[in-house]
Amino acid sequence: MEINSRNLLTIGILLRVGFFIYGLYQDSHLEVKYTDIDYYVFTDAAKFIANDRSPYARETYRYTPLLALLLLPTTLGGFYFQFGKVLFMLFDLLTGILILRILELTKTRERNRLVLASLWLLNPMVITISSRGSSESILSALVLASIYSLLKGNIFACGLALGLSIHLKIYPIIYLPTMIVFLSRDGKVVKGMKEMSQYFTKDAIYLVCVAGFTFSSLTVLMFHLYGMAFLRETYIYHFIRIDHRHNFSLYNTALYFVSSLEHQGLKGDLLSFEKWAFIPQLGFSAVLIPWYLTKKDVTSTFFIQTFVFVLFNKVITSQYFVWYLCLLPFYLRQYSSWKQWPEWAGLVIWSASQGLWLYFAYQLEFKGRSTFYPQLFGAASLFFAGNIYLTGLFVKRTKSLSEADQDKEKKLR
Amino acid sequence: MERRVTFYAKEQLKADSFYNLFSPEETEITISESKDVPISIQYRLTFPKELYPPLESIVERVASLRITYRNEELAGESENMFCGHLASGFNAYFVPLTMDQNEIWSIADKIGSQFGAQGDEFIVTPFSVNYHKKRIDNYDLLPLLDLLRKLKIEEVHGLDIQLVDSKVFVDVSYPLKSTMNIKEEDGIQTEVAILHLDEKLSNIENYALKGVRFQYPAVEGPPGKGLETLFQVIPRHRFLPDEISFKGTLEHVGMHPKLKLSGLENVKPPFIQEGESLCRLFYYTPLSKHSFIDRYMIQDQSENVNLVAGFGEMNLEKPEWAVKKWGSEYLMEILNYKEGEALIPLHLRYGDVAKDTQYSEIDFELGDLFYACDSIDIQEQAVLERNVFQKRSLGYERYFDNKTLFYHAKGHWQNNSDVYEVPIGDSTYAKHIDIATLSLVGLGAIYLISCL
Repeated sequence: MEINSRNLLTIGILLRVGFFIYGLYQDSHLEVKYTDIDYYVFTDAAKFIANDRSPYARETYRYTPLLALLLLPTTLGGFYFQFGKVLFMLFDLLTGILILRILELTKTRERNRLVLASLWLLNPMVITISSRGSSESILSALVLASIYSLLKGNIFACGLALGLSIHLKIYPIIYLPTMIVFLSRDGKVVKGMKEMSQYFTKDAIYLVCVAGFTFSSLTVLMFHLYGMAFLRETYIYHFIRIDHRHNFSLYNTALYFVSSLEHQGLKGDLLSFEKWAFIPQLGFSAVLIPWYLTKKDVTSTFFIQTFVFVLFNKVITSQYFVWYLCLLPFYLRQYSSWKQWPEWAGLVIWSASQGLWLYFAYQLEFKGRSTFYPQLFGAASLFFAGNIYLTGLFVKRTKSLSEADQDKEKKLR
Repeated sequence: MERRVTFYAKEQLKADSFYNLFSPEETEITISESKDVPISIQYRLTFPKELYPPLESIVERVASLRITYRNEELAGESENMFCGHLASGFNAYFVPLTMDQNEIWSIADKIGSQFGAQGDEFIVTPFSVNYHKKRIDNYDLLPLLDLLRKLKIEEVHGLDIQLVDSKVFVDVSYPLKSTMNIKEEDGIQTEVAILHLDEKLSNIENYALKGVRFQYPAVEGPPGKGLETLFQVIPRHRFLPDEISFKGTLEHVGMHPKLKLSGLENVKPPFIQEGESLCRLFYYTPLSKHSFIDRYMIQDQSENVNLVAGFGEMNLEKPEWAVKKWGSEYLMEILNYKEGEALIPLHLRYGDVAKDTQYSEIDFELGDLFYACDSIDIQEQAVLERNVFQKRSLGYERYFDNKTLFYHAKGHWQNNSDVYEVPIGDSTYAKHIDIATLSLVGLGAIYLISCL
C-alpha cells in the first residue's frame, strides 16, 4: 500500500475507531473503566446546563462553559453519551491534518511529513487520551489552527483561533509574543512607533486586537451568563492553585512541605515557591525563548516555549505533555535522520525518570508507602534535570539553523 | 421549668431489688446505687428558651437547634429506651431564620464556641447547618444545674439538647454510679419515674414499661406516694437482634482505602408486606476532614451502593490542613443485602508533615446501618409522635419522612481496624528539599540562559 496523507489519515481514523470500541468494551466488562474521570465531569456539567443550571454546580468543573455546551448532546442519554469522545477524536484528527498542513508550509519533504505526522496521528497515547474523553484535542487543534493561519498570513483567523484557545485555557497566551516577533520580521513598523518598538507592526496590532477581542467577548459573555463562578473556577483558580497531590513538577514536594509547615506555624526560613514560580516559567516561555528563537524557527519556538512552560509549571500531569506533543513534529522536521538525534540520551532520561516517578507514585497511592522523600522528589528532580538538558539541546539546535533555512521560511510569507 | 427523672432497669428479674433501692419521702426521694442492679437514668429538663444561658444570644436567630452526643462505648446500655438512636459522636445542628451567610456563620460561631469549634467548621445541608466530631473532650453539660455540673461528658451515655417551639429540652442519659437525692424545688415541677421493661408484653416494636411515678410537689395523690404506672412506647428507632450485625473493614489501598461492609446477608428486612419489602437498607456515615467520598466515582464503581446524599467538604484537591469544615456526611443506600458486602471507596487527603515520622494514624467511624421502613399503620404513625422519650428532630432522620421507622443493626470493626496509617512527609528533610529545589531551578535557569 502506498503511504500518503490520505492513507495515514485512514489508518488514524481506523485506530481511533478501534480504541473507541475497545473503550466501550472495557467500560462494560472490566472493573477499571476506560472512560476518563474528566469526561464525567464534562458530561455532568452539560447536564447542569441542560437543566438551566450553572456548569459550575459540578465540583471540579474548571473549564469554560463552552465545553459543556458543546457536549449538550451527551445529555440525551444512550449512545449519545459517547458524543463527546467522538467530537474529541475528530479534533484529534483535525490536529493531525493541521500538522500535515503546517509541515507542508514549512517545505518539509513528504516522506518526513508523513513520519512526523504519524507521531501524532498514530500515537497510541494521543489516541487513548481523546478516545477516553479528554478535551485536550480541542485546544491542540485551536493552537495549530492559529499557527497554520499565522504561517498562511491569515491574521484574522490566527487571532480568532488564538483568542478562543486562550479563552479555553489561558496558557496559549505565551504564543502571542512569538507571533508578534514573527510578524515583525519584515519591518513593517507603524509610523511614529519605531522608537518604542520594532514589534508594533500593523499585523501584530491587528493580531492582538482580534485575539483580545475574541478572548474578551467570550469571557464577558460567559461572565454575564455564569458570573463570578466562571471567573473563579476557569481562571482565578489556576493562579491561586497549589496542588499538593503529587505530580511530576519539581516544585511539588517543596510545596507540600512548605504549605503544611506554614499551616503549623513551623515554616521558619523556608521559601514560598508558589509566589515566584511564575517568574522562570513566564520569563523563559513568554519572553526569552520567543525573543531569541522566533526568528530562527518559529514553529520550533512554539514547541520549545510550550515544553519549558510545562517544565516550570507548579503542576505537571501527563495530560500536559499533549500541549507540546502536537508541536513536536515541527521541531523534529529539522532532522533528516533519526540517527542525528543528540536528544536520545535526554529522551531516555525523560522516559526513565517518568517510569521511576510513576513507580514511587504507585507505591504511595496504592501501597501506602511514604515515598515523598527522597524517592518522589529524586525522580522529579531527575525528570526536571533531564528536561532541562533536552531544552538546552532544543535551543542549541534551533539556534544553529542555517541561514538557508531562515531564507526558506521567509519565502513562506 | 419541668424536670423529669426516669430510672430504668433493663432486667425484669431484678425488679424487686430494683424498687428496694428507692426511698421516697414527702418532699424528696433517695436512690441508692447497687452493683447488682445496673440503673440507667434519663434526666430531662424542659424550660423556656430564654432561660438557657448558652443560647441567649442566638435563640431568636434560629428556628431550631439540636446538640447530641452519643458515647459509643456506653450508649448501648440505655439507648433502646432513652437515646432513641442518636447519631454517633458529637453533633450540633441548627436551622437559621436567615439566609444571610454572614449571619449564619455568626450563629455557628456562637454555638461552636460552647465546644471549641469555629463557625466555618460547620457544613450546610438542605435541612440544617451542622457540626460533627467523633469525640469531644469537654463540654459543659448543663451550666444551668448544679446537680449535673459534676457529670463529665465521658460518663454520659447520651446527650440530646433540643430547641423546639420556644422550649428547650435537655435529655442526659447516664448510669447511676452513687446514691442520688432529688428534692422538691421551688419553681420546678419534678416527676420521678421508676420503670422496668415488661419483657412478656414487649417486642422490638413495642416496649411495655411498668413501674411507679412520684411527683414533687404532688399533683395527683398524696405527697410521697407513688403512682402505679404501665404504659407502652412505640419507638421510631428500633434495634435488630444482636445476632444480626455487620462488620466494617478498612481495606488497605494506600491513599484510597475501601470501607467494606460485610455480613449484610444477615441483615434481612424487618418486615415484608404482601411479598414486597417496605424497607430499604441505608448506611449513614460522617467522615472527618482527613478523608472523603468522591460522590461521582462511587456511583460508577460501587455496584451495591447508591449515594443518596453527600454534604460537606467535597473538594478533592485540598489537603487536610486546608479544609476548614469538619468533614462531610453521606447517606447511601445498600441496593441488595443478599450480596453480603458493600464496598465504599474512600480517598485520603494529604496530612500534615511531621518530624521524624513518615506515617500518621487516622481513625474512622463505623457509621450507622439501618433499615428505613414505611409505617403502614396509621395509629402507629400517630403514636410515634407522642413518644415521651424520643423526638424526631434534626439529624439524618430528616432525610426521611414522618412515618419512617428505623431498624438499626449493630456493627463492629473487624480486628479493631478503624485505625489507618497514612503516609506523610518527614519534615526533618524540609530544608534539604527547599534548598535542592531552589538550586535545581536556579541551575536549570542559568543553563538555559547560557544556551540562549
